Amino acid sequence: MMMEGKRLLGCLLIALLLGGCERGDYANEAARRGILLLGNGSDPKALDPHLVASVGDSNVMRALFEGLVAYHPEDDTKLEPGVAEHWESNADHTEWTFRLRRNARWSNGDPVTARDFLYSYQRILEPGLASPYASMLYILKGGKEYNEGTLTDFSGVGVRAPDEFTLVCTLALPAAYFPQVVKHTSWLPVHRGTIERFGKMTDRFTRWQRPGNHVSNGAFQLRSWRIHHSVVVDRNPFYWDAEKVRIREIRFFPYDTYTEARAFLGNRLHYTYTLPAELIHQSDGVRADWLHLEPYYGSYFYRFNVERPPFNNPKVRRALALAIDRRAIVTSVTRANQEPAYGFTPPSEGGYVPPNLLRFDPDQARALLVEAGYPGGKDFPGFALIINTSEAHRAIAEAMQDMWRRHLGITSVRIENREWGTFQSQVIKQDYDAARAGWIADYLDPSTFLDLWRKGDSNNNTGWSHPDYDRLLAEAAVQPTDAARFAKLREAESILLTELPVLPLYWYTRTYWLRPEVKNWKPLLLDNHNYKYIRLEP
Amino acid sequence: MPLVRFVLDRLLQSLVVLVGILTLTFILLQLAPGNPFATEKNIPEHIVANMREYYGLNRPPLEQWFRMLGNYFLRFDGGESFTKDGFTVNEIILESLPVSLLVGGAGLLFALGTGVPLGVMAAARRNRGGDYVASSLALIGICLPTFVVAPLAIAFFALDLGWFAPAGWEDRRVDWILPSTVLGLFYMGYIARITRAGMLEALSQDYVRTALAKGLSERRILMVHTLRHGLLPLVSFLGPAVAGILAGSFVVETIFGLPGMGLHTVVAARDRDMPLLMGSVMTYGAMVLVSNFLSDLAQYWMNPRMRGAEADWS
Amino acid sequence: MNPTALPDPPQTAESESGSSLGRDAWLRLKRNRLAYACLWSLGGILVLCAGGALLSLAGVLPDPNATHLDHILEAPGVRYLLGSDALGRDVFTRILFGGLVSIAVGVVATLVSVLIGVTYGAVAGYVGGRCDAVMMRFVDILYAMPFVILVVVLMALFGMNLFWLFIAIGAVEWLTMARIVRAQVMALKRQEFMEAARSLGLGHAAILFRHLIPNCFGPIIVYTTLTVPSVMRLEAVLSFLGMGVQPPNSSWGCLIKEGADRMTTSAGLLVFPAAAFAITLFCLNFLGDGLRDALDPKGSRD
Repeated sequence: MMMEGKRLLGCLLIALLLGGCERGDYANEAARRGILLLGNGSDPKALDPHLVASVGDSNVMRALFEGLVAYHPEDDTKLEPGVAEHWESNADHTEWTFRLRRNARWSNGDPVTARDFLYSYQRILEPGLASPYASMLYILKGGKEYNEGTLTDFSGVGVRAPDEFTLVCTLALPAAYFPQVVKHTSWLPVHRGTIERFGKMTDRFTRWQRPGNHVSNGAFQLRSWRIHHSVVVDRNPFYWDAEKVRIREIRFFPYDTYTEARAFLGNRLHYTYTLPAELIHQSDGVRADWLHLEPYYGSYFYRFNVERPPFNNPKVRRALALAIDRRAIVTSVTRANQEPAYGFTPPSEGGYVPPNLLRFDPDQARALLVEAGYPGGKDFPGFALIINTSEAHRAIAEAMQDMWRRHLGITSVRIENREWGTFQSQVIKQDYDAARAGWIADYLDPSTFLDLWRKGDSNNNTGWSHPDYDRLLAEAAVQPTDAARFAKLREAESILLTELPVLPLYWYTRTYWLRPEVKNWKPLLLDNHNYKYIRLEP
Repeated sequence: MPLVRFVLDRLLQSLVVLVGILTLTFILLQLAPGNPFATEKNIPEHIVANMREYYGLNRPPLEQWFRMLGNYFLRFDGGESFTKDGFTVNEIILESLPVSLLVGGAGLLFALGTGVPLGVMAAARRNRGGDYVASSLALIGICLPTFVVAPLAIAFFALDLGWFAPAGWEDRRVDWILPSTVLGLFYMGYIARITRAGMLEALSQDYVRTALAKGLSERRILMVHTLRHGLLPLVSFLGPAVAGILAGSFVVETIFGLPGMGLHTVVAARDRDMPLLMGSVMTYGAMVLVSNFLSDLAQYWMNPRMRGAEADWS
Repeated sequence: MNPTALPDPPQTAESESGSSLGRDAWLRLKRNRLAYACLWSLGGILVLCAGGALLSLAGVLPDPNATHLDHILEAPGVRYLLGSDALGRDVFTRILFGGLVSIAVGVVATLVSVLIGVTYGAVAGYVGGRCDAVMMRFVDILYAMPFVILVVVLMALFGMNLFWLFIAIGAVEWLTMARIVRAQVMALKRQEFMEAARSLGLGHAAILFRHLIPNCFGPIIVYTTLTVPSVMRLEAVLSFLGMGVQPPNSSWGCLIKEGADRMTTSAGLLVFPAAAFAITLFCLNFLGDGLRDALDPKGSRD
């Protein structure tokens, strides 16, 4: 083609003039030098564990900070001692005592003490900090009240440090899974001296998060941070377990999906944050040997606004849900071995299994639609599916739109694309008909999914609530054993799946490319890798 | 002195335009729905209220506008980004602008280096084979969207040949070559077409006909007599275009993973990061004004007839 | 795009050579073989897209929005003339429908911009003085703003539908037209026929719309032809940003974006729509250049 020739000629000339040469295997060379190159989807919003909220941000946080309990390298259900060496609870799981190790150090050499955690929990709960994830600490007695400003004395919150190396947490509810919860970024400690050197406890915009100022207690410390470029962390010499840390440096890149894939194919990355569906199943499988498809503890679904007709009618919601062929969507559209969702909460092996109440049943869907007064989709009111901008969401929405047209005769569905800011604010204000959503577990327990649909939960946003549902969740919380608790949760989820304020589509898989130089990168349900155990073998 | 008056006039006008840009952007952002503090997880309402208070968003709009005006024109301070905690707008722009300037500058040179010769060639062979070939070549960058050309170029030059990195910016001298060529390809088309039109116009002037009649060789006329006149429209086109190319392209920066200004502008608009967006818009505006001014000066210098005229030909 | 779209000869006494100007221009355009071929090609593309869309509505060609999840990403063949996309939709009819949308966006948004630009520029140029200065400063302000922020904010404000896409693009593309028309009007204002019109007692509106604007038709037409391709490009860029035409409808920009993402796996998804887009833009640009040459009064001395 003429165009090809022209471009070739121009670039050839320039390349020859400058002798720009880009040969050799960059990623392999980096591995040789102990540098791990990770795609991370986007820039971190902050390097302050109390201010971040996204999955990508938590990946950086995990390198920089270590909580009381750390992530196990092979199994997310297991607990790995972090700053706490061991912990125990009282009989009804409402009071937890963590014994901190004495050799834990901040990256400036200061010891990590129970007081640091006390300070950190107060900071994230301070109304003035406006931490997006403060609600994670509502599990502490008085945490919610303190964060909402109705309790002003922090000593009323259920956390105390009887001595330098003991931390006692008193919970608002019994929670046998509490050690799982404290792995989350919102429970990570920050260094008081550093925070206060650059401002007040509740100042968001201080320069403490910048290279040179940043102090952390994890296996790595911050070296550089350049927006739209990279975050670089290197080994923290004061880390208590420093001799176990194998890699010397991690670089997180904020590349867009396709840029990231090209960077990986050009040997510039060891790992991609994600992988577009069309690259997964190439006929000959580009880098098929480096492809990883693993279960991920998350759910992809649509919210219905049950305060708007026709979604105020449960029959309509059920008809729409039954007319979706989830199997076809995962095999032909998303194409990454996702599991079609027959419930809302993803099942976990040996743990909670949701009731099996959803299927593809166009006949029953049509019948329900007749009962609802829209035989054959006649006069079905027009409504919009809103999605945030992404080819993947768009393709799924288009497939759903066509399934409703084909199976129910509904032709009035619009798909409306919103950029993230607008999308999110429409969902929060409940200013939508049906909205795309996804939920990745914050910790490994079904309550992270089912709590969403409680009345008044800040993530509910559907207008739906059911007294029996809320009652069952409350009853579940006080059950002595997991088996009894799960039984209650199953009952609650059955209500959710009969009422269907949400339309579950599939359970996530993690899909990524990983180079063979990276060792010990095991499949994890929450995808929270503990970088301390990662090795590089060029 | 007309020149001094012209310069002073321009400065005053530029100041007015900058205030206008600030005001218009401010109004647009006040109107736009969306929440700068939206994140993956929902934030309780009272916490959003706290954030709005922290950033002064709960003040009356007029007060916010006035404060912003003062910050920009007295202190040259863009404030703090809403979405990039701990970064000031000034910092972000100072870090990203050089990347866009380098990529854009190289792209502009490439576009001029290829576009002007193509345009002159097309004009010299008007409506003949040479014209068609040159014009068609020039149109490649216009007829194919950049987001097609860029991945193709990466697939070939970076992945197949391995000459360049497929993405990223490591401040090495080769990282800018591929993106700036792709960027320049688009401007090349416009430059060639404007050059062609300008040259045709210049060639039809009486003095050229006279020169031709006197028997000067065609080539010398083209080069010596008409180029200066024929490039005038190009110089006036370059006024706004230079700022556009130097301020960075969202598409190119996304695809090549470059930490430049174009990316910041679009991302800030998308995330409703008002201070950062305002900073990018004001930087862009200032660049447009400067390059327009330079383009006017160049035209003033290139076209003797304009020197007597009023500076009123915006 | 169509010869009848050329200006009717202005019906005023002042434009003395009006009728012959239009005919001359048309003849000159015909002499420019490439531009003339482009005109015909554009007509052909339009007929193909419209005809294909009608055939599809009549059921002869497949429905562009019907998904067939058991026939995704198929190669060109009997069932799918140009292959199927990632949802098993027929690429050929999607290109035809997408072409209609792209061309419609190009033409309608351009008309919006022409309407705003011509009126604004003519009024500024005609009224002159302080009013002109203020109006032109406003143009300067818009000129010095990155277009994306205008479009992003407009689309966020009014939602992303086709209508607002037209308006949003039109609202950012009128600036150059306003400047061109203003300069023309200012030049014409000083000419003698203006005196004549005024002495005949014509009102300002009549002078402006019946005499001044018709006399600017040449530059307006040329610039309009060149605006259509740049609007179509803008639409493609917006598709890249995910702000273009809403699904399941498509435009060439959307199709090319989808294709660019899949170019390593199914090249056809990129090549076919990109070719349609490139040919159309190519023709529009050459036609614009041809029209400029044809309508340029200086060129007539050749």
